[in-house]
Amino acid sequence: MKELLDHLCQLARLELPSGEREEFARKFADLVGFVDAIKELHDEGREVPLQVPKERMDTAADEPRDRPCEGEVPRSYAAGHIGDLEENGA
Amino acid sequence: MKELLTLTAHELMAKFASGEVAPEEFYALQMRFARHIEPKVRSFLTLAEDGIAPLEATARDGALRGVPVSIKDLLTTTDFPTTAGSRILEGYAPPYDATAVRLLREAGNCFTGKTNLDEFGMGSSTENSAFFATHNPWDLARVPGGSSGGSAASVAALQSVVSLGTDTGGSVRQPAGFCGVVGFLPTYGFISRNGLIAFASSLDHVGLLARDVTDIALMMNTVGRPDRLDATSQAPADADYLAEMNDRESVAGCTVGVINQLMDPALVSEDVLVACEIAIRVLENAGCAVKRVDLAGVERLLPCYYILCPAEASSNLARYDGIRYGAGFPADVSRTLQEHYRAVRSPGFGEEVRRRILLGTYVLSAGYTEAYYNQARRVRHAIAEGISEMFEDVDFLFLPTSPTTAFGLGERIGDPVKMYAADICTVTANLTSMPAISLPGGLSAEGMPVGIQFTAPQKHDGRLLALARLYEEHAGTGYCIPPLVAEELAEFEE
Repeated sequence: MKELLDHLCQLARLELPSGEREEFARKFADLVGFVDAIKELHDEGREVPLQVPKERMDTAADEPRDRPCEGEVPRSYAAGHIGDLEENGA
Repeated sequence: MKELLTLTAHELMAKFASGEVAPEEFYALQMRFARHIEPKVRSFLTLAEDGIAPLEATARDGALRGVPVSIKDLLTTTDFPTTAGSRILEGYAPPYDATAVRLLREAGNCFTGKTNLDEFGMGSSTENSAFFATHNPWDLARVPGGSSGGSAASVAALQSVVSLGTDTGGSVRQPAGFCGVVGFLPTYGFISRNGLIAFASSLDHVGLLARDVTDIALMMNTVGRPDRLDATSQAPADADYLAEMNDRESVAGCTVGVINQLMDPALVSEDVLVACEIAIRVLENAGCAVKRVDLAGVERLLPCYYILCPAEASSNLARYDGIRYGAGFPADVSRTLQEHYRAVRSPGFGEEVRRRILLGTYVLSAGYTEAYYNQARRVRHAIAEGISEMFEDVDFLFLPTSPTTAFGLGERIGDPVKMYAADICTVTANLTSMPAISLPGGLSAEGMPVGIQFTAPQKHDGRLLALARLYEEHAGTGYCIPPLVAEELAEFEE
């Protein structure tokens, strides 16, 4: 559970306070057990109703990124420059 | 004059129309009493100033006007901060009004303030507010329900006449039931979600709280309008909910289905069951046919809801990065973006919000999506089909609002699974987008309010209000003033 929580925290950009980790992990495990009931149902044959176009349904692998984004907007950038971006075709 | 505080909105509007009292005069009285009782109940995160400019009531006939309204702090307002009950939005001043707020403002209503809530609407007790817990006006040692606990408490404690709330899994109806007022969840898209801070977008609704059904119809006539700023808006442009509520022909001889599985003594407390059985007799006396029906898959409801809801929440709450507004703004440029995100989000979100974000991240992560998220979507679809089939045999469904009356402050906060169980009777309406209403169903043996609930097929909101009004007329269990509030009102010096 600890490794799973660490991975999820990385994906969600969160950190858990060290003094609360154990208690949080215990409650989180209870919750996972609670929603696990959905796996016991046998509805796999039923089609999943689409909410977004099918071609966009495939999900990428979850890879926490801990490096600066490429092409990052300059630190001095301000909202007032939006027009400039539009003019440049951004 | 202080007796005016106990009136409903439509009774008050009659007083305004006759010139017996001016809206501005009543508003000043309302705010003085709201402040008087606030230290005990703690309904508000922000209370309005006492004075207002003369009101220009421009609403059409049959709509709410000139009446003080409290607003859940999950709806944006230009004249009050909007926090969502979260440290991450502390002090946030939105640049626009939510559409429902704007419509009330344009109709000439005035606002008493922003009410307390579970952070981002995540909770069933209002104890998850980042600021403080609200108390139930019937018993200050108990919760008012949640997440619109501040809204329900403000209406029950005479701090406002009506309130705007939000309901993602029962957040208007459950606190309405706990506080002894009326709570209405319209069909999805019947009140614009523009300006409602997103929690779980496919389940989020703006909902209404009032002291009787007529006030709900009046509010719907004001806020139940189509809105081009909400892509899911589907409200009819010309609906008159007051007229539909008064159309008794629409419910003459109707059939009400009682869901057996949600009247199970293993699930529902004896006090609630007794109140429900009395309510069923009231329906029969009012000329309704009552039929016991079975809802397949009740055991799936909560796991389904608690997969879809955190999944959507984890996505919606990714926007709180401390870059453009809220906590962490302006950004500390000595940190990397990732460091900044974590530094802002970790202390900015409370424990329950962190838990739901992580659960949502888990059920959406690669390798688990099929087992959890897609399975939950299948279940949601199956539940909706089951409910549709039920509505081929019955006109309305009846069920308790909550399995118990209000529980004690601190009683469930340490056990999330136990807290989630409080939602078993309310999540179905959100999962299926149907309208639902919670009505006062009398008091328990301990003197706490019990809520009863009706639901109707999608887009039958007016007809649902007609049934609710029929029940209200025959039941004699409508809103009554909590004893503590009556004492405070007696002591209150105008």
